[in-house]
Amino acid sequence: MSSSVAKGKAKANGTAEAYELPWVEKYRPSVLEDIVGNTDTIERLKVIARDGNCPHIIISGMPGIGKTTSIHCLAHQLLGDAYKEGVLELNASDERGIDVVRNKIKTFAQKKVTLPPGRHKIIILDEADSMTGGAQQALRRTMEIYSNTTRFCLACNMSNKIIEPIQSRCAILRYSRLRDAEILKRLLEICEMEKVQYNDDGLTALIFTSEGDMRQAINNLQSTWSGFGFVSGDNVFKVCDQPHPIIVQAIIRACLKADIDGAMEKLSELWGQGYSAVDIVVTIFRVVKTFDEIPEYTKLEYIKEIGWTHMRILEGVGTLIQLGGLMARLCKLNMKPELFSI
Amino acid sequence: MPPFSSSQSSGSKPNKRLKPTSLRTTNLNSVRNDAGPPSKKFKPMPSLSQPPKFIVPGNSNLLSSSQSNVKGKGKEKATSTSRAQGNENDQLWIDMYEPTAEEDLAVHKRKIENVRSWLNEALDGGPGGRLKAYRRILALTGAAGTGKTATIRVLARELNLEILEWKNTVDESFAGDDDHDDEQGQSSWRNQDYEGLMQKFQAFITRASTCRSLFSGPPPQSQSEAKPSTKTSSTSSPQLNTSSKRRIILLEDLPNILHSGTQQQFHAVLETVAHSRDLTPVVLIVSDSGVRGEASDDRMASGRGRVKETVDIRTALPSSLLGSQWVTEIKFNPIASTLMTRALQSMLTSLSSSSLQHPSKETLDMVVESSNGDIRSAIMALQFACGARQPSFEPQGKKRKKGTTGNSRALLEAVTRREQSLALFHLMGKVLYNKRKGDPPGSSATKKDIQRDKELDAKIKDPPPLPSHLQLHDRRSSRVDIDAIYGDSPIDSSLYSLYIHQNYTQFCNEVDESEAISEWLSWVDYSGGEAWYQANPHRFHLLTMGTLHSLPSPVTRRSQKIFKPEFFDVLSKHRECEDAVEDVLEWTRDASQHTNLLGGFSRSEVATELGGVLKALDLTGRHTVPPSHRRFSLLPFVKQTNSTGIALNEDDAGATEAPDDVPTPPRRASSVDRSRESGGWLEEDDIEDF
Repeated sequence: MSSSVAKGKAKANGTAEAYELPWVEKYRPSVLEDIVGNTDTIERLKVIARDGNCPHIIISGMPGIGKTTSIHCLAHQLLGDAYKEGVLELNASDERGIDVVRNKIKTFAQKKVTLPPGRHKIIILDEADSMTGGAQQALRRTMEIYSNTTRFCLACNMSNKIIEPIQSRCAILRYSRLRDAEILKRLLEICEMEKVQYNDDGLTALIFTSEGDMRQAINNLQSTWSGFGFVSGDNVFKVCDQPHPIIVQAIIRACLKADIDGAMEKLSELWGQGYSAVDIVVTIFRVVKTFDEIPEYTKLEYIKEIGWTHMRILEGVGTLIQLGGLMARLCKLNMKPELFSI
Repeated sequence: MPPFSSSQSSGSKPNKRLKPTSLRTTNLNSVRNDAGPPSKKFKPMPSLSQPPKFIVPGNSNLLSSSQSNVKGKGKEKATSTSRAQGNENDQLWIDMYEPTAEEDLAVHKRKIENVRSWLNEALDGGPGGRLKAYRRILALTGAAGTGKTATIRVLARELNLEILEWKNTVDESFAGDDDHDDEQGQSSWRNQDYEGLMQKFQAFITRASTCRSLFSGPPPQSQSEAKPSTKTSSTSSPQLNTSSKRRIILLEDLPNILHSGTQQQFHAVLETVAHSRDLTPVVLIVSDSGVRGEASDDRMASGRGRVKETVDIRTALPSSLLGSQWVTEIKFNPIASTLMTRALQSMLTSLSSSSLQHPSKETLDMVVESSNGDIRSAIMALQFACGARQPSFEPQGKKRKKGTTGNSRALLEAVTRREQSLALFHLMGKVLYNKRKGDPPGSSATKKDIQRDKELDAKIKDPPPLPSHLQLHDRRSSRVDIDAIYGDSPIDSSLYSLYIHQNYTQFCNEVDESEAISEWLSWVDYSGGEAWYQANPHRFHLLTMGTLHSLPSPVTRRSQKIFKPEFFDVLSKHRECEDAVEDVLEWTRDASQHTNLLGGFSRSEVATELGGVLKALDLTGRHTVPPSHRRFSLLPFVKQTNSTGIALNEDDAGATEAPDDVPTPPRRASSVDRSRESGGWLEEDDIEDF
């Protein structure tokens, strides 16, 4: 999450040479053309950016797929130099209660800004699904009254957390998850520009750890590069501080053979390296769901057990015993039931 | 900000609040200054029955601005054709094409008629002139984008009414300077006793019925004698009463009634409105916020202490007014697809003269079907999708055009919001048809499809063998790529399980298969935990795999249809019943004060045991039992043979069938409706009884 904090500040001191920008900022697309994925929707936004008269929009989708970036690009391309006075941006860290909606947003909406025809002031509400119901209610009439001078752009993770009346006033764009190939392409571009040395294993590891989140992938790339000077699989997992999938695969293989001792040994090794229970269980899940040595039914039962353990860990019991219990249940599934009859 | 120095000097205290009212009102204020704006006088709210007869600058803009707003809209229609060229780039279509006459409204005729007759009765007293006292508050409810506000505006124009709309004002301490330090702000608030929003609201309601806006024309009665000279106060002053007949107050931008203190004050004001004959009738517009589709909704519904997070008619109106004779509720249904198509088409014909790209009929149909009866979102989607022309596609011939429609189709899929979009349909189909490697091709499959399947199968590896004791669970490998559908899924896992739950039975052959799926559903539900942070994060994968595993392979094709979950209907019915129980409980408490018959009932006793008594009391007709009890005391468990859910179709034709004309859920709804009409809607004949 540190990246999102840095987001706002970065533009201002971009010129400083000594200070190295986070790559997420440095290579953040500044025009819609550069945004990766969701081509149809972006195409449409380009038309709007050129012709103006932007409707109210809601962009929804997973983290790190370019929602906020698209809105910023759109606003920049629409308003150009007038960006500063023509845009009000509020995100979840800003106070966004009902009084802010009533006051700050309305005051901005009433403000006179001279803009070319077809251009409007833009209010960007990032992470809009975290707004309270009351604040959203207060927003709905504001959107309507000032729609001839001000347009709203909302970004959120789940559009169903936005109340119906607001959804009704907006065009809703759903961004889908980025494909691995799309992330890979961007990573390669950045590697090229930053002269990063890497191997294929390293890139695979970056994509594995990012789970479709471009921001995370780029952050991990930068951390690995500045930390180790070479992007290899091992280095990436060290930087991301995630258990190495190879070890986890070994654990799963042991479980498939009902070899509880082998599984526990590897598990203790991970535990000894200081990984938390959540880290371990998350990695186990990621490995299991793509591991093709497991038959479908076993996979299903495994995910059931993993999910159960994950839930327990989130509830607060992140102990080695929980993970051990998981190992035992995974092993038992592959043993003959007669062995357990008394 | 210097503008109001004159009003400040005449007021007893310099009042910071008054500063940043919009410039528009400056001249008004200077005109009205002689009316005497001592802000001190209205601060302790005078009782509403004796409204103060002055206009205070700080609030006068409430009256005037809404007025000018109405005017602006009136003008719009007249000039819209002439300036369509110049200005279309500047406005939202929903503003440009706001309906101005009844025939433009896509609302069902009967609803319009209901609203019109209410307005007539409220203002003129209906045929006998006596209904006026009971037409105090009109509540328009219904989903967003069903034309509630538009109907009122159109009718107001038709009946020549003046709409006074309440808008929550900007708080000046914010408006002036964003970065005033807190101490200063605090002290300035304390020093000049701050007038809260609610006081302003009360004052607004009172003033709206007594004062006239300078811009309003002379009242219609006086038109013959007094010359229609505009903007003079001379004609208006002696005719305060006549003019107040022709106006209504529109409450749409409600104060924050989720805050209990504000809610109480709001309710108090509404009660005064209801019981007084002098105040202007109020039209209250409450959009259903709808269920947010979260897993927590059902837990909240089951728990007693349901937290009100949404604004609905029950939070907006005090319980004493709900269902009373002073309040009329008119519920707007989602707009029927036929009506909406017509409206959109007529909108597009007025557009076609201009330079815009004309969307195909196919596109239009898709917009209509995906909007789910919400005309505003339909127009929004249409503007977004077809608003500006795409020069790159323009010059090409037919070949290219085909590409365009495909493109716009994909685009609309991304744009439209409702869950029944194509993406969801594909998701459900992929999961529920459970295609596996080596499935025989379907009867309708083309050669291309077969070829594609073959290629796909070649890529899928055969699964490693299961241990012997699990042979029972051996399946051929699935063609479904779970990670891919997870990435594309338009819905979250709780909604996803609702869909599976609604539909799985049609796809099973044996009871065992159903058992297995429901087992997985219940596991997923159970492992959800109580709060979001405990939820099992792998529910989507688990449910998908579990369903795929349990379904027969191949699934027998018997033209299954995918339905939308009935959960939300049931949930809202559940809430209605809960509210009805609450009504009856209230009533028993009241009744127990007069007689010893009733009283001391618990909620569950009311729900389970009192039903018979209530029905009996209903028959005798002597007691005024709240009619809402029929919602829980009359439960005809009539279930049609087939699922009553709404089909989720690839072209989703059935979804938006005119809900106005078809009394869909057969008996229950009609009985409730009838009861509401006979009990809730007050007819002329009933008046003698009160």
